[in-house]
Amino acid sequence: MLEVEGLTKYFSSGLNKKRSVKAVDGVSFNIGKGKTLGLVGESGCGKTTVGRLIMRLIEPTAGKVLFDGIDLIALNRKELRNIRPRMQMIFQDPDSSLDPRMKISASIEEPLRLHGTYSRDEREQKVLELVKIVGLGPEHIERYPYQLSGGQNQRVVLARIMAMNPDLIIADEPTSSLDVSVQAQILNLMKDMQKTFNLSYLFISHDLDVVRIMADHIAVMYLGRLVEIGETNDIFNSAKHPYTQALLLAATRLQPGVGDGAGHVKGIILKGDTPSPFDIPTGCRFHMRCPHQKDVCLSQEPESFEVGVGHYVACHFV
Amino acid sequence: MNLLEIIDLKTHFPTSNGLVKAVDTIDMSISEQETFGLIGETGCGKSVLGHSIIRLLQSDTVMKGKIIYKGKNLLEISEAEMRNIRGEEIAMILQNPTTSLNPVITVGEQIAEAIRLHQRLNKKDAKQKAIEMLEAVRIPSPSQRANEYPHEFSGGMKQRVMIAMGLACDPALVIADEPTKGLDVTIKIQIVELMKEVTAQKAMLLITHDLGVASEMCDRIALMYAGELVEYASVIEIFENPLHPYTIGFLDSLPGRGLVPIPGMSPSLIDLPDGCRFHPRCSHVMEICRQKHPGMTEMKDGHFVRCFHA
Ligand SMILES: Nc1ncnc2c1ncn2[C@@H]1O[C@H](COP(=O)(O)OP(=O)(O)OP(=O)(O)O)[C@@H](O)[C@H]1O
Ligand code: SF4
Ligand SMILES: [Mg+2]
Repeated sequence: MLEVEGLTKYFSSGLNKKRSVKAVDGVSFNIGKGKTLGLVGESGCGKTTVGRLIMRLIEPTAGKVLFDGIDLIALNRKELRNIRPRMQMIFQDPDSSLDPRMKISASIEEPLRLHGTYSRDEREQKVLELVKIVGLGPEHIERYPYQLSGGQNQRVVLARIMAMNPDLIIADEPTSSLDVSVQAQILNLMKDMQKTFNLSYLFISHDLDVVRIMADHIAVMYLGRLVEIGETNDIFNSAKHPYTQALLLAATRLQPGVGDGAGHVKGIILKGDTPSPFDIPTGCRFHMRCPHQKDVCLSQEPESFEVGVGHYVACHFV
Repeated sequence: MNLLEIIDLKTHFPTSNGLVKAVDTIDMSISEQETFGLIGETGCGKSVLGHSIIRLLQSDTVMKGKIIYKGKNLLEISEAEMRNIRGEEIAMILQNPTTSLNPVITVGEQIAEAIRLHQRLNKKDAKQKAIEMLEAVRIPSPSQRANEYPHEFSGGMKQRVMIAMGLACDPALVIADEPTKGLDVTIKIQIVELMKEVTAQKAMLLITHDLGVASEMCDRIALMYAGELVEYASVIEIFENPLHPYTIGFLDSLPGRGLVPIPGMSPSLIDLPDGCRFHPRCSHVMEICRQKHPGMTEMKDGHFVRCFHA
């Protein structure tokens, strides 16, 4: 459904645009029809920028994005507008996606009006259908966003998205502002929708527990680069990159429960901070925090190579 | 021995829409050197409970009950006496370092100020103490970083500063409100390790959404729902033998534990349901649950539950 190759985005900033931020640097992955790729990494590592580049909300510096075989980067404005409804994005904060002055019914109807060829009655009918798909009732649609909870508003956002009949949904931390019991409602809904409508998801999250249950494949991003990508099981059971191992260790130690259950996890607790994308270290970007760093890591950026079926790692010592 | 004992505490806010019963009938205690976790979903009253203990609330707040700290009822002492207790005896580590740190004052000075509120030190000695505190929370080159401003610190480092500030006067009880919120997991584990170490000799009330952080740090855990505690017990009991339907639902809704949602949502604190506050969402609801408000019952040594079904 989606093929991303060598996707790159440098932002220039500061005085005279001298400083360049390599927000995304040579990122490649595929997402199959009806499948989910989880994109994980720490704040500021470039996850959201990847999503925005795919949607072409911002223009890439280099790279290719093929959507259902169509080269998105080559499209002109009009062609892009025609294809956009098939790719939708959902964000962390539902309030930012909904117009506070619009009733829920109008919010959901809007995309149908703008993109469909439905009559008024058909639209009304369709709104009710969509509301039902996302688990709301007719009693909700005459209200305004402030009269609903965060979880309910996130359902409204999903209904709006489904009105476009998309093939791909890019979900950027869609549940990180929600309580766990409500998060469970939304994640279950997203899984059901995926099954029913054969949707593909790019699921961006910093929460490994969540990604584990949502994704078929996982890509781990560090300072603009993918350091490891593979099937969800391979990532959890045989992560090879020291950064992935450290993430898993921290997440396992911080999993709710007694005993840390992390005995089988290889990683260490990392020292130091997440470095800033403004000054990316030379060589391997992870070397300053890496427990295994050697001389070559300081000077040479590691290539990504295959360590198992569909399992790629970018580290000099795997 | 109990350092803090809360008896039948109510904290209510009069508003134009009605009385917000943010904390309603809370009984609990924290013993010396114990870490007590307060878990619950957004708006259930956790922060209000934390602020009630040090009486940092707007003046029209209605508070009833007793908060006994080292034998003294904090609800009866004067504001002057309370000021001495804040920081020196009971300190708070706040939820949001970005808004709690003053952007135009260096980090070292801010900590020094906090120290001078309670200890008679000259500026120079207070500054030295501040540097020691930064070192204690593992900030590299502390004497240099003390002269920097908050915006020069990363999120994790700011959180360390908040911890340093909270601990500066060596309090006996620390109230930490979401000390790991918004931190990346590799940084979060660092902060958890640090807090465990620097508060080992202190009692702590840890307020958090994050059951993972709580299970790593706490001796006992309480679940709060709609202004009241519904269950508390040792960490092991909470995980291995949860009894309240809300606790069970909360655990089952975690991504690593089944992702089974609790239907519905938390009630408004202005318009609480009759009977058991959880009854509209409970799968075990019985007739009595709609009519009577269940009390807290000790089911087993130190394991308390508020439910007719348990
Ligand atoms: N000064 C106030 N006046 C009126 N209502 C208030 C006041 N302070 C807090 N509340 C209300 O009390 C309730 C409990 O708030 P509190 O901040 O304690 O929740 P919380 O459990 O800490 O939530 P979170 O997890 O989101 O931090 C909320 O409904 C809040 O809106
Ligand atoms: S008292 Fe009744 S409604 Fe409340 S939690 Fe127990 S069984 Fe459920
Ligand atoms: Mg709070």
